[in-house]
Parts: sequence; C-alpha cells; structure tokens
Amino acid sequence: MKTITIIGIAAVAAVSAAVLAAKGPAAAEIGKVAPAFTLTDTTGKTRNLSDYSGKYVVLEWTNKDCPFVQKHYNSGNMQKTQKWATDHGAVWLSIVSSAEGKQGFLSSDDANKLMKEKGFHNTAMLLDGDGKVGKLYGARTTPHMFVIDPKGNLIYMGGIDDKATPDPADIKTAKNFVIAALEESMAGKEVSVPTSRPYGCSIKYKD
Amino acid sequence: MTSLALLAIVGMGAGQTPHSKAEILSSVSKAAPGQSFLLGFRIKLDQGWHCYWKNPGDSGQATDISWQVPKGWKIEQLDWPVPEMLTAGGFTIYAYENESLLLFRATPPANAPKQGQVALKAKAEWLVCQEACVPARTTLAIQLPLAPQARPSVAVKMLQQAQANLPTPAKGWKIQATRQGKAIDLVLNAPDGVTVGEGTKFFAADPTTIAHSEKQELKDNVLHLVQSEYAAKPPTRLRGILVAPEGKSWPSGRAVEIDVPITTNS
Repeated sequence: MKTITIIGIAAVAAVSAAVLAAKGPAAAEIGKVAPAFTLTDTTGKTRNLSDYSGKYVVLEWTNKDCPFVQKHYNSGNMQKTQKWATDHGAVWLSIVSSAEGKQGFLSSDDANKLMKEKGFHNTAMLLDGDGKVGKLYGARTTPHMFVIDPKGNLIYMGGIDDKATPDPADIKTAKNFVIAALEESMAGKEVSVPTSRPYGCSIKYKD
Repeated sequence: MTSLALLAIVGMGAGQTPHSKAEILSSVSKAAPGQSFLLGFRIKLDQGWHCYWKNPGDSGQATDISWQVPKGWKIEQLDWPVPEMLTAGGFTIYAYENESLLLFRATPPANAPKQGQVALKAKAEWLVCQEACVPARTTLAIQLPLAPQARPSVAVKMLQQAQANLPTPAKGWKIQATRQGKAIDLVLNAPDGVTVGEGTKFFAADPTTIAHSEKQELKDNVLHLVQSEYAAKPPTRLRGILVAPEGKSWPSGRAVEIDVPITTNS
C-alpha cells in the first residue's frame, strides 16, 4: 500500500486521465446513444453492440471475487435478473474489465467454467482486460449496470438495486432498478429511475 | 480506579474482524440520569487498509452503526470525522486509514435508575478495503454502571479531542453555490485573515451531487465542481465539508460545514 503522499502524486495523473476520458466524444449519458464497442466473448466470438440494434441490451460489469458481486450471485439474484431480462427478449452482456493479474480477471476457460457453475442466464461474457470499454462507459464498480433501449439509447445506469450493501439479506426488500427500467420502457413508459449510485468494489483496471 | 473501569469496558466491547479491530469507548465510567456523554465506535485498521466516510465516493460503502439501548436512552450520531480523499486507478474515495472513530452523544433518561448497570449494544457493518474489499460486521456491547453523578473515564480526553476535530460551522465565511449547466461554482469568501489556498477541497455529503473524480480547480476563491453523472436531477443544494489543503487547517479546524442552496445562472 502506498503512503498518502504517494497516493497524492498518483492522484494528479489519475485525475487528469479521468478528465480526458470524460471529455472523449462518446461518454455514456442517459438519453444519448450508448457508445459503440466491439469485444471478444469467452467463446472467441466477436460481439459488437450494433449487432443488437432493435433489442434491449443490459451491460453488467462483474468481478467474481468482489463481495458485492458474490452477494448477487450466491443468492441467485443476478441470475434471476438475467433470466427475467433474456426471457423478455433482452440481450445480456456481462463484462469483465479486471486487468490480467488483478482481482476478478478471467481467462476464457475460467469464465466459461464460472458461468456454468453459477448458472448464469446471460447472453455472453465479454473480456475487456485493457479496460477500454469499461472506461468508455465510465464503469466504476462491480456490479455496475447499464440498460440500452432498442434505438440504442442509454435508459439506465447505476446500481442493480437500492440496497448498497454486501448483505444478501437485503435483496428481499431491495428495488431492482434494472428490471424496473426494462419493465417501464417495454411498457412504453419513461424510466422513473434512470440513474442511481453504482455501488460495490472499484473495477480493477490496468494501471 | 478509572483505568480499571475502562479496561473492563474495553474488554467487554472489543472484537476482531477482518483486517480491523473494533471497540466501543465511553467518556464516562459511570453514567447518571439525564447527563449526556460521548460514545465512540473505533475501528482500528490494519496497515494499508481503509474504511469509508458517510459518502464513500466512487465505490465502497459507509460504515453503519445501529445502537440497541434501554428504553428512554437517546443516542445521536455526531458528524463524521474528516476523511482522507484517496485516489487510485482514476477513482476517488473518501476514507479513513489507520482508524475510524465515529462519535455519538448518549443521554440516559432523566428517570433512569441511579444504580445497577446498563448494556449499550452496537451492531456495526463496514467495508474494509485495500485493493480488494472485505465486508466486516460485529455486535459489541459495553456494560456501564449507573450512579447519581456521572464519572469521567480515562477515554474522556481522547473522545473530547476527537469531537473538537470534527467539522465546525462555517462561522465568518460567506459561501455561495451557482450552477451553469453541469458546472457548479462554489464561491468561498473566507473570514478576515484566512486564505483559501490551492488544494482546498469540497467533500460532498451526498454521493450523487458532484463527480468525485473531476479535478476541483480553485481560481480567485471560486472552487469549480462538476455535477455527478448520477445526479437524478440537477442538485438544488450543496451539502458537505470544505477541507483545508493537505497538512493545513482553517482557524476552527481541518474542515468547515457547508449547506447552501445552488442558484442557477441561465
């Protein structure tokens, strides 16, 4: 662990990088077209966001070793949310932006094993080891959720629900913002909660 | 005599949790009816680990303490101690390294007994992180003897000092906030003789008011902030603390409280 002084110096570089990223042309913003991207999934297939034009798309940033992610997978809540979304015609892309050597990084084989073991109901898991897509979306925590409508516009970004704890007991009383956004938008309504604070562990991006 | 009493209290109210140790401290060794005193919930952190402020920042989770006390007792949380702003990997968090000491004012009811003892129980949850994070939770209790008159414990000075270090009201400051689009300007007119120097920072009390990782630029006593991309609506109030530059203090301490309306420049 670095001392505060060293963190202070690192901060200057990190903050200017963040500012540059935020000023890029295609940052994620509610009501705007979601930034285009191309990533390879865990079967080696190339996936473009544009492949899913005309469908709802859910992006889920994940890190299997983060206690907040474990809360939602060990309880089955994330899989249930995935199932609800894909049963309603949405495409669900789980994205791993952990860099190689950092917490949550997965090889394709390990990712496929994990998805089988945990019973994922997603469409695919995409590997973003250089963190480019994560940074493009401003993804900062795991989990961190984004919902895109059939026109390609971002309609939700933030936490999976309103109980920002690692305690699985809180899921019962939590309001699931992803399902709410999909449900409302599919019913032709405006999304009542388009943003919430993303909560969880910080994404372990490449240094 | 008092040190024995404190040992007993600490002994009852301490526990080991992941990468941290928690204990309850009391400013009195004996509590009396109607006489307020301080309770501290202290989390000592292993080297390199941190836990969070009331607004954790870009990630993390605020420590949560809920007290179970006998009927009629009042427990009120004081403001949180001034945290460090830590930045890593492009993210900004507000956290405590080494230790986090949260303070509470406890008031026994006026008709409380003047003898015997009470159990004050704290259920606590916090997140302790280095690079990785581990949730910690514990329930601690102290047994506090009751008496006609309160008696200070050996922890009284330390708790009073911690209270004196809390953010103070912004006496003599004239502070205004204005918004234009997503830019929020905090106009800081300091009391006479006080300079608002480079490195002055605003820590928002609410996690979705300002973008934590945007650089806070100071120019001519105006601190430039950027609205959070997670603000549900443009914020109409700016609440938080104004922290003096690293290693410095305002005349009243490390930080002053801010709670001002945001006016819109159209």
